[in-house]
Amino acid sequence: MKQRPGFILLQTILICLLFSVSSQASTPTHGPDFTGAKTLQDSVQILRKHYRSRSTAEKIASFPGRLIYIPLRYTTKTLSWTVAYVDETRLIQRVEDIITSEDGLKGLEPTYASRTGAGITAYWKKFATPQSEVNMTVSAGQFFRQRYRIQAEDIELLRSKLLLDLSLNYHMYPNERFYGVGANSEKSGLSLYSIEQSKFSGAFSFQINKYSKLGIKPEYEVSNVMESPDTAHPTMVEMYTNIPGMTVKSKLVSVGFELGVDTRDHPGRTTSGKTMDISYGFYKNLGDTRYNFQKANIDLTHTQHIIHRRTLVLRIAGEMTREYDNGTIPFYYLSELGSTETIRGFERGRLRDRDMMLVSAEYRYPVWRNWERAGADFFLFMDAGQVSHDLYSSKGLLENSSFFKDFRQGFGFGLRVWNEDDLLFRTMAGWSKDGWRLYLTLN
Amino acid sequence: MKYRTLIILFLIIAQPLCTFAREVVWYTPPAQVPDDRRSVPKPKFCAAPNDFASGFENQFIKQGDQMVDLARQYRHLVDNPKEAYNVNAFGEVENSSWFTNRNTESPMTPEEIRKGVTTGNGPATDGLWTVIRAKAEGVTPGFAIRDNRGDQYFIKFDPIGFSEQNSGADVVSSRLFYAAGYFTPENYIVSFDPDILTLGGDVSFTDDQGWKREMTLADLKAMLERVEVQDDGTVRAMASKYIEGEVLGPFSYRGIREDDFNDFIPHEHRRELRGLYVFSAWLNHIDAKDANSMDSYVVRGDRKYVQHFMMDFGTTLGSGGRGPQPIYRGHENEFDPHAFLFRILTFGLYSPAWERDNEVKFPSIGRYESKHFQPEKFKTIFPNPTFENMTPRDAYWGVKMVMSFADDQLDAAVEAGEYSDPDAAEYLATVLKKRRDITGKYWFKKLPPLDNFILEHQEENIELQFDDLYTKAGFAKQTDAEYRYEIFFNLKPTGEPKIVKEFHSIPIELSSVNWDNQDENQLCIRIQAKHRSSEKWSAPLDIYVDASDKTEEWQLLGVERWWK
Repeated sequence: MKQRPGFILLQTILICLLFSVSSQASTPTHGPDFTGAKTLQDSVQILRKHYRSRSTAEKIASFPGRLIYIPLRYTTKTLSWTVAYVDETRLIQRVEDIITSEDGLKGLEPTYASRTGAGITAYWKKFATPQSEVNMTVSAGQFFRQRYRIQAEDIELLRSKLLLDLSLNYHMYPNERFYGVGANSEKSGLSLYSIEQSKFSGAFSFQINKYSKLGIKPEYEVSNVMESPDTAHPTMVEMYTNIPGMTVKSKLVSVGFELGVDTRDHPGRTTSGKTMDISYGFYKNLGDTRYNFQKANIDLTHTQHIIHRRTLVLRIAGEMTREYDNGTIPFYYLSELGSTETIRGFERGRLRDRDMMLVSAEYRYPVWRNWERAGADFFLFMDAGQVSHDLYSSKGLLENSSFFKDFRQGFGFGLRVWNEDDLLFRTMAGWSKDGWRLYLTLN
Repeated sequence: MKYRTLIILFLIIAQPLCTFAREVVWYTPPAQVPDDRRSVPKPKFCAAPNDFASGFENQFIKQGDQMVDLARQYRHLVDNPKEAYNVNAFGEVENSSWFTNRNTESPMTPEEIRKGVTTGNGPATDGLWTVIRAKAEGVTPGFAIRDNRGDQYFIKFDPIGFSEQNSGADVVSSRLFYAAGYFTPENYIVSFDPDILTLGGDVSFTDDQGWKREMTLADLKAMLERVEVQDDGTVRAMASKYIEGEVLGPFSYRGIREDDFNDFIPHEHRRELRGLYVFSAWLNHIDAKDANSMDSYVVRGDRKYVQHFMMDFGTTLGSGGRGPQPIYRGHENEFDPHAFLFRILTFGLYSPAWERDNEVKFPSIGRYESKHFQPEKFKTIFPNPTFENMTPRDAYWGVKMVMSFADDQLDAAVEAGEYSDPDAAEYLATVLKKRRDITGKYWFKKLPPLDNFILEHQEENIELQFDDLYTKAGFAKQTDAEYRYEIFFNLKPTGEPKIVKEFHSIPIELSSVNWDNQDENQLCIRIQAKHRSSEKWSAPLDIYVDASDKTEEWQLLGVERWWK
C-alpha cells in the first residue's frame, strides 16, 4: 500500500509531539530565569511565561481534539450562560410568582403528551371546598390538534363523604390513525380520519375508605368523524367501507359506574401498592338506536418492591364492548391497543375490536436519586395483548383457538423522572413488529 | 513502507513500557518557586460564579475539554501525569499566600488546634447585633451582623431538627483546615438571644420569590422562625468573622487571577490544591468549589498581597446543609454520567454497599461514617478540575497532612464543635480517626511511605536515616518491616541490592564507591519497603545525594517517589 508523504509527515509530527509531551511530564517544571527582570512586574510577567498550564507541544498535540470539540463546547457554554442567567435573575421563581398566587393555590403549569401536544393548565386549588380543584387545560399540537378542558374535581358534599367531579371537554384531532378492525389488521392498512368530540360529564363518587372510591358518572357527548385534511395517507373512507361511526355525527348519553382502589405508597415513585379500576358504562344514541352499546373494563396494577428500590410493576387489564338493542359500536369506542397506556411500540389505536386483553410487566430501577425528594428510574418493559371480536366468549379464553396466535407484543425501555407526588417526565422507546416508537410525557 | 508503520506502532507501544521502567536519571532539582507574598497592586473584585453555571461547567464543559485533550489522555495512558509546579526537591510545598506548613512541620498542641485561627470569643452577645446583610434563599437562612464592638460576622444556622449539625461541622472542619495549613476565617459557635437583633438601614434582601427589596422586621422575624430555638430561648449558630483585608471574591480552582502578579502558577497545578483532595475525602468536604473560597488583599508588615482562604465548611463531615448528607454524597457527583450509565447498563443488579446503609446515628453529626469510606473514590458534588489533576505524589503530600493529626488533636478539634451530646462528639472523633487510618493505609500502600531523610556522616561511612510513616502510624510492627536498597553512583550500580530489617537507616560504605574524575558526582539510593513478609515490595523511592566532593559533607539533593 502506498502512503502519501503528507500522511507520513503528519504521523512523524504526532509521534514527536507525544514524546515531547511525555518527556516533559516526568520531570517537574523548572523555575523561570529572572535575567532581564528589572521590576517585580517584569519578573512576574516572565514567571507567567514559564508556568503555563500547558506547553506549546501539548497545545499542538491536543489541537485536533479541541477543534472537533469547539462546536460542542460553545453549545454547552451557551447553555451554561443561560443556566446562570436564569438562576441569577431568578427567572423561574419570578415567573412562578407571577403565574401563581401568593398562597400557591392558583397558578399555571405546562403540560405535554404525544397525543394532545404541548399545553398549559391553569388551576385553582381549594376553590370551593378544602379538597376541590378547578382547572382548565389548553393544548395544541401538529396539524392543529387541539384540546380544551375545564374540570372541577373533588368538590366535597355531605360532609366530605360524597365527591363531585364536573368536566367539560372539547378536542379536535385531525389526523387520527385507523388500521382496520380485528387482531389481524396490518400496518399497511393505515388510513386517516378526523374526530371532533365535545363531552360533558358530572360524576359523583363516594369515598368508601382511605383507599377506595365508588362512583357514578353520567356523560353527554357529541362526536363528529370527518375526513382528515392530512393527505400524506389515504383517508378512512378511501380505505374502508361499512365501519360504524365513519363520517357520522352522533350524540351519545352514557352512565358509568366506577370502583377505584389505590393503595400505592407514593403516586410519583411507587415502591409498593396496588391500583384497581373497575368500570361499566352504558351508552345510548340519542334519537335512534344506531350506537347502543355497553362497555366493561377492569384494570389491575400491582407494584412489588424487590430490593433496594428496585420494583416490578405488573398489570393486567381487560375490556369488553357489546351491542344491545340492535345497536352497533362506533369504531372509536371499540377496545383498542397501542401507545403508552397499552402496548408500547404500536401506534395509538393500532389494534381495535370489541374485546381487549392486556398484560404488562415493567421493571424499574433507580439510576439517579440525587435530588431531595426526587429522582430518576430507568425501566424495562414488556407489554402483550390481544383484541378480538369475542375474546371473552362462553368457551373461555384458553379454548379460543386464536388467543395465543393473535397476541401482540411490545418491548422497550425508558426513563422516568419523579417526585414524591407526581411523575414529572417520562420518555421511552418501544419496539413491536411495527418497529420502534418514541414517547415523551411531561407533567 | 510497512516497516515505517511498524516502527511507529512499536514506538507508541514501547513508550508506556519505557515510562514504567523508571530508570535512575541524573537528577536536577527543581528551581525554587519564588515567594508569592510580595507587594502587588490590588487586583479587581470578582464576584462568585453562579452555582448552577459553575456546576454545569465543571460537570460538562471541563469534562469535555479534558476528554478531547489528547496530550492529557496520552499522559493518562502511559501513567505519567503532569506533576505540580510548586514543589521543592522533596515534594513539599513552601509557605505561600495559599498555604503555611503548620501541623506537618511542627505538631500543634491540642489547645492550639481547638483554638484554630480564632483570636477572641466571637461576637459580643452583651449588646445589640445590627443586621447588615441577609440571605433568605435556601432552607437555612443566614445574615451578616455588626456587634457592639464593630466586628462583622456572618451568622449561619442549623436546619430545624438537626441542631448543632451545620455549626458543629463548620467549626470542626475549619479548625482542621487551619491546622493543616490553609487559611480560614475565624469561626465560632455562638448562642444568642434573638431579641438582640436589630435591623440596620437599607439592608438589601432577596426574597423567596426572587425579588430584591429592602428588608423589613417582618422578614427578619420570618427568617428566625425557620431556625431552631434551644430550651433556654437562645439560638445556636455559627459566627464567621469577616475575613481580614479587602475581599476580592473567590479564587478559581483552575487558571490564575490575571491581575494578581503573585499568581503565576495555574491553580490546577498547585500541590496544596491538588492534595486537598485527600484532605477533603477525609473530611467529606463534598462542596470544594470556587464559591467556597475567598481571596483577600491583606497587609502584612510593609507588604500588601492577595491571600487565599478556604471557607464555608457547613457541608463537611456529616452535614448536608439542609440535613444529613444525602446517602450518595461523597460517592457520586450530583449528576454522575459514569454512575448513571453504569446503573442503566447493569439493569439495577449493581447496588453499592453504601447505598444500602441508610443509618444516621446522631442528628447533630449527620451522615458521616467510615464503613464504606474509600479515600481514592471520594467525589465532590461537581467534579473539581484541580482534584482531577491530582497525581499520586500530590496524594502522598495530602496523606501526610491527614496523618499528621494525632488522636488528641482530633479530640480537640471535635471539642471546638461544642456538641451537647458527648456520645455524638465521641462518635465524630472516632469516625475521623478511622477515616484518617483508612486514608493512610491506602495511600501508603500506593507509594513508599518513607520520609524525613537525613544523611548522618560517620568516620568511614555515611548513613541515610529516615522515618517509616507506615510503622509510625501503627499500621505495622517495626520488627516486621524490611527495606531493600540499591546504590547507584553516577547512574551506575555499586553492587547488588541489599536488605535491611527493622532499622530506619541505610549504611553507604564509601569504599564501595568507584570515584570518577568528574566535577560532579551524584549518588542515588533506591529504596523499597515492605511491612509483612507476605507483601510485595513497594514502588521504589530514589534519594539523590550530591557527592561531588569526597572530602566535604554530602548533601541530599532531592527525592523521586514512584507509585504502584
